[in-house]
Amino acid sequence: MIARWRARTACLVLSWLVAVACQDSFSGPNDRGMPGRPLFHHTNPPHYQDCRMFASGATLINQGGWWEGQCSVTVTGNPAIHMTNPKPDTITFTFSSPVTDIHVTPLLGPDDPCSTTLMTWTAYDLLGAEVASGAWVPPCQGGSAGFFIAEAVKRIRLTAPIPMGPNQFSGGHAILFFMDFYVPCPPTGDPALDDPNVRQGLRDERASSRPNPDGSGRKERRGFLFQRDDGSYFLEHLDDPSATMCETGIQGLPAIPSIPGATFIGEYHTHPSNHLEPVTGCRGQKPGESRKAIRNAKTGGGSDGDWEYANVRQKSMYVIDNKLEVSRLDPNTLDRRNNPNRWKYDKDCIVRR
Amino acid sequence: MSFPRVLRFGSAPILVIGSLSAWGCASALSAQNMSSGCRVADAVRVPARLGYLKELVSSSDSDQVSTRQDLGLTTMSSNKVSLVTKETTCQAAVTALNTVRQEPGTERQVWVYALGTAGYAVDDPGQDQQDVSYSDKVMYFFDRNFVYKRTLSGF
Repeated sequence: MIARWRARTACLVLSWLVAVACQDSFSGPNDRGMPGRPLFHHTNPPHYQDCRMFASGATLINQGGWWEGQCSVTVTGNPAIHMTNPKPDTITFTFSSPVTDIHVTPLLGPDDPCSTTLMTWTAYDLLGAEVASGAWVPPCQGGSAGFFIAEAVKRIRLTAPIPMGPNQFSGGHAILFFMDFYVPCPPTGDPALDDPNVRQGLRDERASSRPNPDGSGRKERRGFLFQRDDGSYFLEHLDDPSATMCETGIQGLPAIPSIPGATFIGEYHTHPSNHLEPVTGCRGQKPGESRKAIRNAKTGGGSDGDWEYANVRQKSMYVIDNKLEVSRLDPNTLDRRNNPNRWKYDKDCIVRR
Repeated sequence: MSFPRVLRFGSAPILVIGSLSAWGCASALSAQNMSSGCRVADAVRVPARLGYLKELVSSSDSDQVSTRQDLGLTTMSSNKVSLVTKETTCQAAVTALNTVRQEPGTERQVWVYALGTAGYAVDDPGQDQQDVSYSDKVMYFFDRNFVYKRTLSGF
């Protein structure tokens, strides 16, 4: 599971008079469905003399200038995407920050000529160094074929096939470019939380610990954090059927699973209740005792019990609460109140809170 | 009182030292075994709870404001929060806590915090000191007459 948010951009290049239109849609997390078809299809529109970028629903969000056969237009967002058509046979896409796992899928309009020659692409990193390149035969008559770049890329340059038209991209043909990519999360300062599996795993555990929208059935969930020999991390859930809304059911320190090729790093658990949400069935809670959860006790993201557990285990304890805040409780921390190891989810990334 | 009993064994210098140590232990044991009342402050939990309560009654943080409202507390100066050392108040707190816990007659040494004149927060560490789990600690809130209001869980 890849926990990065995704932006999908479909760009239409109409180049008889160097008109460039992009349809841009920023979608939700982990939506890796096939890109949708742009809402506009026009070919050879001689009256198009500008660059256009469209948001979802074909709403014009930006319109660039056109001069002497060149187009330049930017889609704002994270990242911003700047598209240019600096030469008749060249289109470039420049991202304001590097993206990864890019799928580029061209789609020719129905009136576009088939070509049996190669369209080439080159990808560049943040420093301008070439990281990947390739070539493909562009699709015909609505067909599509594309390419994939796994590396972090700052800019992509496409060159037109020959013959595509008398002026290649400026030859009156329409090509839609769908771009599907991920924006890497910024580093958290904690290598475990930088791992997409951990980010997604903690989020999944938090969701599982609060299975119903009305908050009923809440239970703390817990498990272990391991690091594989290859440096990656993963969570290993520990079944704890007697856990409650307020605590785990297992008393003491559970045995650490022995997993070949993996090293035990720490443990995690969830806090499934919202602030001031009534809790029931907690250990020691008496019938009629009105008990509510607080999540702002200024104890650095964990309860006293959580901190004490980390001390006894002498390993870090990760806590994720229902507000998607993550805290790492390190053993022997003296100033719990000002625990510096606290983060929150921002879309699918984890950032300092 | 254990003090006179300890003195009885303190006839030689070495035994005096030993006896003083024994007196310290005896006092601690005595505190644990004495009837219900105030618990001597520790260096970790009491300052943490005091800090929390002082912020609770005075902060404009939205979570604290909502907690205050939930407990029926008005905003007050943080210096109105204090650890109670008056035995009769602690005894009353234990009685009230026993009612909530449906454990009449249970002896407890508790930490009682006065929230100005608005009421009290009571922390009974004896309930959870054996836990080594992620158990949330609780505090019980009462009005000034030790009428139970709410238990907050998550400490």
